[in-house]
Amino acid sequence: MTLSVIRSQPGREPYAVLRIFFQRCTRTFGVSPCTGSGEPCFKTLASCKSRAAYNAADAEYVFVTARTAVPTELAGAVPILEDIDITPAKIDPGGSIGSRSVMEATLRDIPHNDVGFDPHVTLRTYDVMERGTLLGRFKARNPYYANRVVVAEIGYLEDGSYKPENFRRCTFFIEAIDGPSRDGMFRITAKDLLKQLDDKRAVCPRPNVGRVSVAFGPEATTFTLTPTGIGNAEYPASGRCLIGEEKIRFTRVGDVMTMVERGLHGSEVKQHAENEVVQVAKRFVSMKVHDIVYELETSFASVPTKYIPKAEWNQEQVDYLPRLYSADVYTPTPVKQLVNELLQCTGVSHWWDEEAAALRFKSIRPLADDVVHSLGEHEHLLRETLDIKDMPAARLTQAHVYYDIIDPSKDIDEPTNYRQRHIEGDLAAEGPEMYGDKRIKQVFCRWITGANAVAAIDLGQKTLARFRRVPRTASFVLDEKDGYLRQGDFVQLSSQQAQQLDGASEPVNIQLLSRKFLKLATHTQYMGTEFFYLAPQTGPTGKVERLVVIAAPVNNLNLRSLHNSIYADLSSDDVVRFRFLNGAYVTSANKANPAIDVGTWPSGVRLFLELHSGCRIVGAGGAGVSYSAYNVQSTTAAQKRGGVAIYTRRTITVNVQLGALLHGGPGGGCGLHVISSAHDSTLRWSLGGGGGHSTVEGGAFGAGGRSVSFSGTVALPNTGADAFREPALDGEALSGGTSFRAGWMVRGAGAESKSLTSSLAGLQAGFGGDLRRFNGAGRPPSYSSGPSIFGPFTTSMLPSSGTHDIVIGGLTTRVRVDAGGEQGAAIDGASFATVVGDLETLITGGDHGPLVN
Amino acid sequence: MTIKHAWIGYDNIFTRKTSVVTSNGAATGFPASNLKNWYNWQRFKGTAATVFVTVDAGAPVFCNYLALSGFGEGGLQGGNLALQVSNDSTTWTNVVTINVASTEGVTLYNGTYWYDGTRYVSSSVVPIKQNIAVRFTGQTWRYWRVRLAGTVAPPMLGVVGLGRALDFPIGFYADSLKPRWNKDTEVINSISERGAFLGRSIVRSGNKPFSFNVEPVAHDWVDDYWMPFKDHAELLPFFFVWEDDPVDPLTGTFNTRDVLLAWTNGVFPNATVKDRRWASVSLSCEGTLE
Repeated sequence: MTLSVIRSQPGREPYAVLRIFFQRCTRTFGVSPCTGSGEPCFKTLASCKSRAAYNAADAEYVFVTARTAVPTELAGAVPILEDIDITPAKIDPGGSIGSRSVMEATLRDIPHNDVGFDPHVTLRTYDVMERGTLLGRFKARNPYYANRVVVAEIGYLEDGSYKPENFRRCTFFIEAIDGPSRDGMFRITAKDLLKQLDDKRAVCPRPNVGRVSVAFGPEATTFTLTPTGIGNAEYPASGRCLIGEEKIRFTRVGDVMTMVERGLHGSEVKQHAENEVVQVAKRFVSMKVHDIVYELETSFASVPTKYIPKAEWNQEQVDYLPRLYSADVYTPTPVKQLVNELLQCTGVSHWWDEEAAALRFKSIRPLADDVVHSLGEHEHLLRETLDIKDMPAARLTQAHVYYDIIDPSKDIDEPTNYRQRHIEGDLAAEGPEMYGDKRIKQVFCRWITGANAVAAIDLGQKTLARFRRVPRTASFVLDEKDGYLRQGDFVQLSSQQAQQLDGASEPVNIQLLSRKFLKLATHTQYMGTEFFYLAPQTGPTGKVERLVVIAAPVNNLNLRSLHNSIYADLSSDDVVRFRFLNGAYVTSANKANPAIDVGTWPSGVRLFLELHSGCRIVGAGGAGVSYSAYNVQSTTAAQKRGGVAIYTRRTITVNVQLGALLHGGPGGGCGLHVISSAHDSTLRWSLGGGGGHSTVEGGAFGAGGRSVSFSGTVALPNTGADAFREPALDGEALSGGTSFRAGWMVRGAGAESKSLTSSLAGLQAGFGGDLRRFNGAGRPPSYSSGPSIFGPFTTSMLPSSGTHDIVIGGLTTRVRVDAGGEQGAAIDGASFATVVGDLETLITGGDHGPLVN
Repeated sequence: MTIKHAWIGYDNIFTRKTSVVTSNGAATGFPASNLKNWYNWQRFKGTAATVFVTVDAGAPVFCNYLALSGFGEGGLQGGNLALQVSNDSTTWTNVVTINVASTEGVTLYNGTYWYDGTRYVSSSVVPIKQNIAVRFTGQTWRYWRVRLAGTVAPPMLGVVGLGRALDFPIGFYADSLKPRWNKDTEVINSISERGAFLGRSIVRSGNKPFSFNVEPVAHDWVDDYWMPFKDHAELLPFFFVWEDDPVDPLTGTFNTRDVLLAWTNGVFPNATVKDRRWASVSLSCEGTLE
């Protein structure tokens, strides 16, 4: 018979067995290597007389139910077990590790002949039956009982016999042993393995004891650790550390720390005093959540790996947890806190399964292979035990997810310590027709980086989905015939306590969060909450896609690298969708590199780029015309050409939505030299174009570099303000310019050219790429700002290269314009790309630049 | 109406401090010394199919009862157990031999019913693993041994009671409970919200407490027999045996149904004087038949 069969038999006979695993020395007393002599030990560490030779092995002690005869199969067991009270763990899905499962066993102490307990009982010179009691002696000999394994077996005798298959085994770890009490009882309290994560037991990173040996200042690049030798003992060869409030990247040789970068995370570079503690940070970089939890628990909380079904965790990750997470932990932080944060940020349930002696790790997810057990009032729910209640306090209308932490050593629950926030809201629910109020939940997640915005979005959606409706809680009692149900299982309750509009019973989906054995192996009380989940979101392809959201400025984006920093385990049938939102200003500061490199992907993977309104994908600006001598241009066409916006040699689909910008980098600005001027017959200047000179390319978003001038007769200062290198909103005034206002297509303009001399005030515009059309023709901006020997230029003059006469005040200045560069390619690899959407309507006339293969 | 069928076995040479208990081999953790106490769960277990457990009383002692508890049948089916005596520990004589039926299989339950693999049925065959008590013609020997001749696996023993039985001078009154009628079994039913029977657990807790009163008994009997028993019972368990047929110490009896390994429950009542010649004794106890 099996447990599932016998538990359904009327007349089943519950029985309990308690197995305690302590340690016992394997040596023979007084025989080498044991040097003990005199009264023999009890083969425990506390009684050992030769500690150097002590060699521990597990020893099992068995106690059984006191009120029934001991089955012969358990001969040797001591029938003093009065009661076992087990309160299994309570799951807190997507919240924390929940509450610990607790087992309390009560044993009655008795006189005992020590057979089975004292290996040297036959050598004792006293009558053990008349000296002390079994458990009193047992505890004295085993004072190091904490965390020892105790297994409670609860099941049924079969025809008076003990058969292991008729029992469930619940594994716990001893927390305390109290006794003997006045009533002669011993009480053993044991908890589940996750108690190892408690605040006082485990922290990450491990506290370091190294200190600064000699004070150093903000300019210092090295310092030495003290005490001597602590470097090799505690500190890695490279990493990050915290001194005071300053975060520092370092390399280390011996006790000497070289500070590669100071003031990380925006911390202030400061003077550090002698003896300041140097704490190494623990870095988790683009890791799978289950791997982070595994490392935290096994490396920092002493959780034995044998209790972690890693293969099961791995499968859960592959199926439901594809994202990667990162964090720098600078201060020793309770492992429990870190794990709880991860569970909350990733929507995972983590609990101790005492029956399987395993730590479970399951994402909050739609039912897949999970069985939903139907429970009804007729054949399952015990009389007068079902209670279904609303939990109005749990309802939410908004979920605010804070991510992209600024300073990981500061308060992680402080909204201002995060750069980004995603708000997921249900505005309809807040309306007067529905709830008419706001219920906001803030979630702070240091583990989601700025590049992993999709994780924050996903978390917000899942959080709101679970609590958008008023969830219900249910508690009920089942006979042990249904005792196979465990925490984490899913049930569907049918009862008159939940009715539909027409009064019919409304099935309520409940996830079981806890259970309690009310009567030994007879009745079990369950508690659970209604289970709502966000169904996996399918993308336009009809599949569950891997979404990557870019919502912040970034240069030189490699899509594969970005994907790999937030997703794991790419497979050939995956669909990856990159969504560029308003604020995603993607460019390159170096024309040699595209703003976006699609990168290398496994065949079969389908790639989609969505460019939403407000995003800018622009290549680097080309080099402006430069002159090596008067009228001697030193720039080539290639140098002047703008950079590439998107480079691909991989099939992609680009969807450009209205309001998005995608274009290659503007060509470098045109050059201009003065051939002759009636204003000043000595003028013979060559003025380089914006967009940088031949070796300084245009800046990000095609902004020109500093204009460079050359004069054969007048040394012109090359001290212009730095180029405008930041993206600017349409119509925004350029920084660094003087009364220069950019047009809405100012990106791609040449930088401000420096005023040549005070007498030549007015030549302030650089000659950038086409300001309006991006054609890189080298047309200087059309503008006027006061007296100018040249200006204003007019668009009619350009874009043609050639000689032009400018007449101002009746005097003519003849200049020659050397054409600037072409605009770079919007997509280098056009044959690999399918472009859809509003690209052509938005940027007409091929302004997006050539599509170069 | 009185019934004079009960007797008590408390005198036990196995548990005397001066006795030496040995065996011809014991499994690790199950030494013969485990028979020097009254715990039927702390067992002796042999290493061979046929084992001997010997007690050296130090001097010849009188015994007229043998009781066994915590008897693991092991492979004893089809074999036998015997009580043997000797004064030199070399030459042994059988006093009692009990053949164990080979039909007493492991599925037999030691209660009022047993599960035959498909159903629960009333049991008329008492399995060997229940307590056993034997009355035999009293004899005086120094060496006594129990031989367990199994057929497959070494058998086990929890408690061996061997000594002089305490017989009551008169019978018990009507309304007394036979131990086997007094099982302490709690029943826990499971009934659904709609009233369906969903399951049942039973919790067996040996025998319910019971008490008896014997009156009148002679003052001398109280002094000579009852008080020594009281001294023992205030500390240790004893065997309480109820015979369906009157005990005939001369011919012996073999009882497997109403042998209670018993212990007192609460304060042991004092014997009370009824008159200058007669007294009353009473006892409240509980125990286990298994």
